[in-house]
Amino acid sequence: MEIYENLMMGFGFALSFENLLFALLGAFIGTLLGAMPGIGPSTALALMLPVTFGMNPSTALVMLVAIYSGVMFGGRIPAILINTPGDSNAVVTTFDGYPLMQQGRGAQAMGLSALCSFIGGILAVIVLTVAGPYIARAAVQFGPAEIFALVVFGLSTVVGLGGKSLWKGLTMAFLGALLGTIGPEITAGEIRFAIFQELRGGLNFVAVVIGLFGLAEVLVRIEKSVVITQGKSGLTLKDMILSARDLGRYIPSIMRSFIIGTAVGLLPGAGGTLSTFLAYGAEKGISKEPQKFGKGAMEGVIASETSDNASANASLIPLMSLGIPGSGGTAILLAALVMYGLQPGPLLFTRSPDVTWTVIASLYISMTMLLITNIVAIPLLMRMVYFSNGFMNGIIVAFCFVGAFALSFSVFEIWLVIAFGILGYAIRKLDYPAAPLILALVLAPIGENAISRTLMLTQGEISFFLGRPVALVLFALSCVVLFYPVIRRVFRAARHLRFS
Amino acid sequence: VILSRIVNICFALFLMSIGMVFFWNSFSYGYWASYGPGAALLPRWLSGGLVIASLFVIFSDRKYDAEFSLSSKGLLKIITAVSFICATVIMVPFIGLIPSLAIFMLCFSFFLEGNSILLSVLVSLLTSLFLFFVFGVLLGVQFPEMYFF
Repeated sequence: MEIYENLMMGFGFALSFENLLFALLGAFIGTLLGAMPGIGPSTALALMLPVTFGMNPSTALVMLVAIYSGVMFGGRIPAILINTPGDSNAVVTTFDGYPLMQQGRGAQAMGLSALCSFIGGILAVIVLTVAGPYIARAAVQFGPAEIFALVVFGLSTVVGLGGKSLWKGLTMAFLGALLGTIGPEITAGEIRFAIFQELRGGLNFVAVVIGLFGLAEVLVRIEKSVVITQGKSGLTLKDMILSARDLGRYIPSIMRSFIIGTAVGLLPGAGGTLSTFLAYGAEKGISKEPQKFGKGAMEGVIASETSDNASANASLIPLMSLGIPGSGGTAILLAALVMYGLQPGPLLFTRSPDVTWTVIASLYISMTMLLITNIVAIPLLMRMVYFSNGFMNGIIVAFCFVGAFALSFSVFEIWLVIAFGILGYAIRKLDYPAAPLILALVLAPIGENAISRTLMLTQGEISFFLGRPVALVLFALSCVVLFYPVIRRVFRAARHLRFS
Repeated sequence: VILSRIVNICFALFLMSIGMVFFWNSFSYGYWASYGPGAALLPRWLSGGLVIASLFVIFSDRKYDAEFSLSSKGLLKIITAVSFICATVIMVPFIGLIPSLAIFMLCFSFFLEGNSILLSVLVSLLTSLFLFFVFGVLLGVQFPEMYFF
């Protein structure tokens, strides 16, 4: 009942003209950016975050969340049309989406994938609405020891599940956390590592993100000369509509993929890409015609799109209820919460219920808007992507620079963007994961605050953690997630020895 | 393969050197204060961790070395793009942010993206006006106007 009342309050705010307008704008911009090859949720949010300066927190977050969801929708467009995924989450969509396009069923694939994205996303928002407050209520009991353990767990899962190499992930996490220590120390306010006057307040997170994702993306696109070769001829609205019979046939696939997507999304760091591969594998395994997968099976597109959107919205659950972001995109949303003076974590639901429930209610609205936008406006969006492709890079850089300047009205932030843009380009070229760096940068102050408070309370006694079962379980889980490949190798070797 | 290995090692060494610089600098702060943990506690552990993780990347992570490839054309484009970008920021104190970005977009579109001069001028002008309207007018950002504007 309490959830219902809060949700209605959220809808009351979210349905104001201003919020509706910015949700629609966010949905449109998000889809457009998502449809551009290489631009994922992190880049899109990094580019658009400065645009929300000056807005009130609710409206800004409504717009950012709509952009976040819009990118998820938009990623599938180039995947189906030109075999180029908008981001890594849409890679699996290309397996069957593009063959369907070649067979002349592209319009149906576009329509069905939009519907699946909507169903997967909206069901995950329902899970967030119901489970979020309960998780937050349980987490309110957490002391600094548990919060520190939670930060370690969040980072471990991102490092352990996020990339191919454990050590490259760890390097990025350590670097991000180290950069997070620049500026005033939490307890006494002592300024650390401020080699420039402008760093005395700490490294500006938004400038780092704009560089790492926005500028680095431009450099990659410039080097590889990413060009859309698809003609401007689009798809017609009529072709995208599916019959009720066809839809009924696909419902079990949609539900299975939603469950997989939500389960993976709840786990910080697992990410949408993993969920799409898992859902695709599950559908292929269950199918009576697995040989059709990869050659134009609708179930393949359904699995990828439903799980991707379910996972994206489910990852908002740990973000909003625990303050632990699970990906680069949700880390930027966390930074936006902090920027607007909100305290992310379990207290978000109790201290800022108006903003929290407005954001949740706006998710329902923006998902509905996205469904409509993605069916009605696809031909228009495709034309826009086609025409803007030839000159988009310069515009992105200009947006990056103006956005960075607007952070503190200082050219220093632009230099910071350039430095992190070059670093971002290098880490992409060398296959280092960027998500642990961003997450560690955001979580470092929270972690430092928690460990400092714990050590102050216990006079430096680390053994204090032994008396905190929740923290101990989280540390144990962190070790398992982090060293799972090593543990698996040891078990395999032991089994091999036993048999031989 | 050798080039990939060298580039991967160089980058890991670069990260390690960052860790070492932070580790060294952390000694200028207190590790433990009268009230509890000092300013150096976390940075010292983290920089130590960065150095160790970088060493592992160098010595035990060979199979995860990224296949490094960069054509001379790609390299030239990157160098040109970064030069344009740096030149733009250097120009800001002299001609202001928005005019610098307008020139940057014009050059970027014409030289790097191979668009016609007409399209490049149009894109740079329209985008500059849009940026000025959104950030300068709607959001009230005070752009540096400097000597000429």
